[in-house]
Amino acid sequence: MKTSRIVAGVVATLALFAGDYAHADPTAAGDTVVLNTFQTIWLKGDALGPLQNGAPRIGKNTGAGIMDPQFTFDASNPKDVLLGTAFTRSQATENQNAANPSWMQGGFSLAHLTATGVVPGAQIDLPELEGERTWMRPQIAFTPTHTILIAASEDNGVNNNPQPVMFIADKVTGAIAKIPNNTRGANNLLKPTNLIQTALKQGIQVNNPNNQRGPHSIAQVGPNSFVVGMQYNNQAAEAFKVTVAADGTVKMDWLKRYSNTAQHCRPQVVVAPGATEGFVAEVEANNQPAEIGFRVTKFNIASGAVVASKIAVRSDPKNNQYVAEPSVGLVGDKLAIGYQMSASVNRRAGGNNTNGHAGGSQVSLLNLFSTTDLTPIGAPLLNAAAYGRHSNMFATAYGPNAEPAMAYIGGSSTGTKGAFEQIIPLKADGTLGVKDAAKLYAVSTYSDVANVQARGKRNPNNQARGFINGLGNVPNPGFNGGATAFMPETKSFSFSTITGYTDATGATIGKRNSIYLSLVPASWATGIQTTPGSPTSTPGVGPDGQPSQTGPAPRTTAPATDPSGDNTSTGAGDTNVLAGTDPTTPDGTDPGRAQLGGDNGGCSVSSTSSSSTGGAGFILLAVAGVIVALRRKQEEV
Amino acid sequence: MNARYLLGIALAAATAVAACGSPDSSQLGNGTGDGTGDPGTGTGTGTGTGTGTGTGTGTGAGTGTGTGGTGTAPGTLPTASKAGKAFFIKSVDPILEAKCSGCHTPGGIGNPSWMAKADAAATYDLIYLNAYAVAQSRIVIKGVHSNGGAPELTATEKSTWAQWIQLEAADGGQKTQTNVLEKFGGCFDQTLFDAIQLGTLRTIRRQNGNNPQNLTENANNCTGCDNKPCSTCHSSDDVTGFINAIGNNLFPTDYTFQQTKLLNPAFIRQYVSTTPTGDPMYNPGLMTKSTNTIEKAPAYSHPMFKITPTMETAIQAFVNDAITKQKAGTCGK
Repeated sequence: MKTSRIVAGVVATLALFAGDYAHADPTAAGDTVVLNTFQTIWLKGDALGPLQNGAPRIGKNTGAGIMDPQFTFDASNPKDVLLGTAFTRSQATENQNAANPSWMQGGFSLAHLTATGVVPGAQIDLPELEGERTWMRPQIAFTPTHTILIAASEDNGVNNNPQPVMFIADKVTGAIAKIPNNTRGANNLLKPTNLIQTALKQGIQVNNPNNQRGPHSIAQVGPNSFVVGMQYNNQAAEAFKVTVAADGTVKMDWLKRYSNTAQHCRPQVVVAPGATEGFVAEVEANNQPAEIGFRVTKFNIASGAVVASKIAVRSDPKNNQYVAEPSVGLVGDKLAIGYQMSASVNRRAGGNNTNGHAGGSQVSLLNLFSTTDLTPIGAPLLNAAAYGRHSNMFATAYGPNAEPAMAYIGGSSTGTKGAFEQIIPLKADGTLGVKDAAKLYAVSTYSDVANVQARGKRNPNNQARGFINGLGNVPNPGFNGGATAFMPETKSFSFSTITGYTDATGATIGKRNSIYLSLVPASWATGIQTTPGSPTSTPGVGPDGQPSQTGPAPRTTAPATDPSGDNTSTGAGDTNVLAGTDPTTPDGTDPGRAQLGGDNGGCSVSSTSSSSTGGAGFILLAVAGVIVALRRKQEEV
Repeated sequence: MNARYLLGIALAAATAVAACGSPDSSQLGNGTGDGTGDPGTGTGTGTGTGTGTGTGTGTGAGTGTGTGGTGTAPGTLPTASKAGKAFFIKSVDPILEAKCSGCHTPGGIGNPSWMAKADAAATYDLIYLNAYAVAQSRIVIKGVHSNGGAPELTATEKSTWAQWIQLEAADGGQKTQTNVLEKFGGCFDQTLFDAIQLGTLRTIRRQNGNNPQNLTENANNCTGCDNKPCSTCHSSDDVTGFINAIGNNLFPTDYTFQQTKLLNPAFIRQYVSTTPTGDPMYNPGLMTKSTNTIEKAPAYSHPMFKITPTMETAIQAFVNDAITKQKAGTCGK
């Protein structure tokens, strides 16, 4: 990707100047830099939605406040990184014109990350749509001019089967923008265009076009182009490529099916910056729990044609072990896939009275795969995430040298604790690194992946999942900016918007969910030793020595984290335990964890697609760094 | 005896410091009742009552052999920073006393117990014994807990903590001592652990009449709340601080037992805490959690579960057996 390469160069330039970052020492008690996570409540969801006797009513179709957020960023201006999130939200009034109304609608918001910190934007409500499932599984991306918002909606102009639809909005103001070829009427600002109908009108063959389809991931493949992973009718895996022109005209480039045996498949797409081939991973199953496994397909980005495809990991029904929820990232020259092994506790091993895996255990696994033939490389890492249920893996760069790494993010099933990222770098030999408790980074004070959502969606019996994810390689404009800059030791972050209770009160009385904007340090200045910190809105130390949004990070005498993937860090007991916030117990389940901390550089605009800078981006970064170094050398002469 | 052992270390350290030519008695134990050979004359207020004879091996130049006097801890452990300890007693302990001592003292419901009520010097030592004396200590970063009844430290209070750590660091760096729990898991007996039968624990859906708050939960709308084993979530959710993968065939059969020995993640803390003298003690972590899920927790939070008296007895037997062996010196050193 041309844009990505340009930005990779910019980031590389920033990285070059990182090495001589002066050690700020405002209130240092030691030499280890505490890399706190920046978090802020981006949008409050507590008061959204219907009430019952003055209290939030959470039930079928009420929504969970704000749920299922997806997010993206645009670092084409390295001094002002644009952050965006899209979500399903609750509203106080039900939509009135559908046979089966609901309180769930769509929304999004934009934020700016500058050298002085984060400025979150306000909630922008999408036009009210009709139906039970008005705006589900939202996806967001940026073109140079627009914010792209895609979701599954019953309000699609065809029937009440959810289909992928699209709004676009002005990238600066957030105002809904015109789509000249909107299938709901040219330039209609109140209804989203139907992407399946668009495909049909543009001559693309679509099997059973009136059946249900829903987007589940998005990857940017060009300044204006995206590949979207899509589930068909709860039985097949598909993807499509869409391009949005500067005037808002939508073009469906292709739509392909990658598996016909893919119940509950939720296809996850990943594309490396500038690549000509991408990957999609999806559950392969005739029933739930998924009795087959998950499939990985390598496809041609220009045409969607299959290059290679295979079942990457198989379920083991006889032993009550079922594959679920693969997530993908590109790490160096390898494909990393995180997935769950799920047990159905509702039936005996080998039985057939399936009832999904709801209530069964979920344990996270992680493995590397060849990008050439999709075969596994080595044995998987068991129990890779801090939380097993619905956890999600993404690629990031990590450490002072922005080495390729995987971040496995997970959140609380009950909403009573926070979200965490377990960083797993590659070893020096390029194989899967070890799990190190000292590389556990807090993402947010509260998180919720299976509680309020389970009660507020359309069909609580089998749609209980809340989605949690992350994106690596968000460059920090404040890097190396000195005492008044935002997290000046941090080169880059991983970025997430996390659903969870606003505070302890929300947790206690069961309010709806808000979303946190979280920036977890991922790469940092060379020459410093770091340790993970805690999630806070004041990650730095101000001139007065007090916690501040800007300013250098605090120092500690705690042992530093070894950023390599080969070793686990040493530490004194459970000194750096992360904040537990379970309101149900006075410390009854304190987590005993050590530290937390990231770089990036590769891509300008990222979305669900996850790739680290260890691959092409990282090489480009290195090349760019050399070029800049040579120029500096010449100037010195 | 752990107190004796610590005394030995203290004396060894004293010898080592003396051998290194440091005449500063403030580097040594300074509570009343220090052991023989301890030249400390500080003003600590420790009230320890240990009477053993300790032997210890010091680091550095000296090898210490001390004969125990009375009072080995609390408040008698060597400090690297006289100024730091004084600051702690004056400025930090009052904060902790006000916010934490209601629960995190022996007999309190806080898990773990890491304070000595109204005894600043003892608390000072306990914080070191628990390896909490770092800038990003769990005490500092702990959020609101206990149904909102246990507050987080304020920014100012956290700053005070940071000032203390800075003083400690300036006077010799980390003094963090070995946490007795780091090796304590080596004393665990698997037969006794298996006798607890953690695999039989099941969640109980809250229904009107089965909990004091008369809360009700819909089985279709909660995660793991209805007759599910702990392994549903606790097979892998390390950050919850509790491991129970019994029955999950992804893991070896002794996985839960082996993991329970760990201090990081602090799974061991559900069973064992430390006394004011740094000795291991039974910690009713699971019972505390159980009680809270029954009596205090809101619906759709952590599922309700009940620890039976039989199970509680088995847990105590498991822990006490380990304590006995550790004190005998046959393990955990």
